[in-house]
Amino acid sequence: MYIDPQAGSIIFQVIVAGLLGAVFTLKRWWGYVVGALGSLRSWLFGHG
Amino acid sequence: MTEPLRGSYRDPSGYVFERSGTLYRCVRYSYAEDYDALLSTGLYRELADAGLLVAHEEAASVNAGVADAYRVLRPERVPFISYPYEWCFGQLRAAALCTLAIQRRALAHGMVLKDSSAYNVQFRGALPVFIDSLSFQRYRPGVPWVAYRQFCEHFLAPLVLIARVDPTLGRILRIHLDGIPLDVTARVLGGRAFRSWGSLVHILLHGRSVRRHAGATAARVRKAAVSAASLRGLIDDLERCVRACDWTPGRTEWAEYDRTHGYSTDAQTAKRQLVTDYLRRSGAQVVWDLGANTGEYSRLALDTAARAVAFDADVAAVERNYRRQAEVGDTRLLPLVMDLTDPSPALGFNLRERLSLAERGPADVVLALALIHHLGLGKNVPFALMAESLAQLGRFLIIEFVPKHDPQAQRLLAAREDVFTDYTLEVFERSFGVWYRRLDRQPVPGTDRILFLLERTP
Repeated sequence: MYIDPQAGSIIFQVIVAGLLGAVFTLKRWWGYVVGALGSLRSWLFGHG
Repeated sequence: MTEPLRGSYRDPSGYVFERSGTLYRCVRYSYAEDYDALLSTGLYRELADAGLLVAHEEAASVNAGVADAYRVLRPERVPFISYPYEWCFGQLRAAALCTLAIQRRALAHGMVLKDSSAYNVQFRGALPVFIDSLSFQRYRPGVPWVAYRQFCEHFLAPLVLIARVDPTLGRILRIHLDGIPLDVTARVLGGRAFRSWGSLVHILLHGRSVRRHAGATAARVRKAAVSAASLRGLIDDLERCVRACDWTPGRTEWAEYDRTHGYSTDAQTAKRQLVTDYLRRSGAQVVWDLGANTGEYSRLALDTAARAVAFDADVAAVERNYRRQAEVGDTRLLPLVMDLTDPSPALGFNLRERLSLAERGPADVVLALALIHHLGLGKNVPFALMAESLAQLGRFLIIEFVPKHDPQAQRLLAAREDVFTDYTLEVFERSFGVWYRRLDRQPVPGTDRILFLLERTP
């Protein structure tokens, strides 16, 4: 590493990225759930 | 050893040098594993094919002249080097999004950007391209992104200042070459920092954390860990914040000039024809259009020239010009913010890191259309100084003499005393005659203006 990231920036990043990472993971998980429910509906009732 | 370019000294992974007019990048052994990973992961090919990173070829036969040279690369050359303090809002935003797009693709290939300097981005016309192929390193799980603060100071801070405070604040980058410090940005924003998530979190709170933990121990920093999912979340959020920054160029006196210049349609057609004839006669490939406004004549120049740079001091006019070019994905016309009474000087360490405007020339042809009254009557620049300055920038000069009684010149004199006794055609010709020989001179039909084609004397 040749640039100085600054300690305070690293510490802050841990907190902010932690929160944003949780949101990111939840969104992906929710995407899977919605996708799975859609597939299940198609399988049960067919298209249209 | 071949001397590195003076601005290429920060990163120990390698350096850029020039030999016989060709640009090379030396990769040192210390960077060998990361360089190999850039190629073997397919990241380099993907980014180069997408036009996000300049392509290079390995120049095996070129000796960099240092013992620890692992590879020598011959990168594709960007036609004109511009700097973030010369970009309009849209360019800064496009450069920020380009950097984040690269970071996202790098993560998908198990790599990460180790820096996010705005100086790593250049423009080919309206399209941003990353120029530093040594900015990548292999991703180590859990390690925070070391370039997070740099990204915020180089990109987010000026974008937020332009969008929320004043469109001319991008020029602050000229005095903060390493990015606008977060605490400075927060102070300028004041209460406006609370108006958006991006300025509240990535500027204000981020800056406070930097100040508060300035004395943190190395052990505490080493313990800090960020998961890959968190890093992706951070990149997504930064992109959202950059996209949320918006600025619409309002009506300024000069951004509206192409509709308010007062030319009749016939006069305008005649002037365009004259300029085209002069451009053909000069055989120009590279045109610098000074006082280009929204770029009408820069685009005209592209009918005969290979590329053009359109300079104007009015940020709204440059923004409009850029947006027009970006819409069509143009790669030949580069609009830049430049005040000709205060053009970009040489800057940085030893005044050699960032080149002055003149050092980035010369152009084949300089266009100075409807410009001299702004410099002469608006900024008090005498013709002698104007001629000396323009002569540094290019071989041919297409310049329009605007007499004092012209309506546009009279607008500039409306509220001030006319102290410009030397603003005459005779003094104009004498002053420019010191530096140039006259190849042609034609009146612009329907006006009292005169168009000159001049060639610089050796």
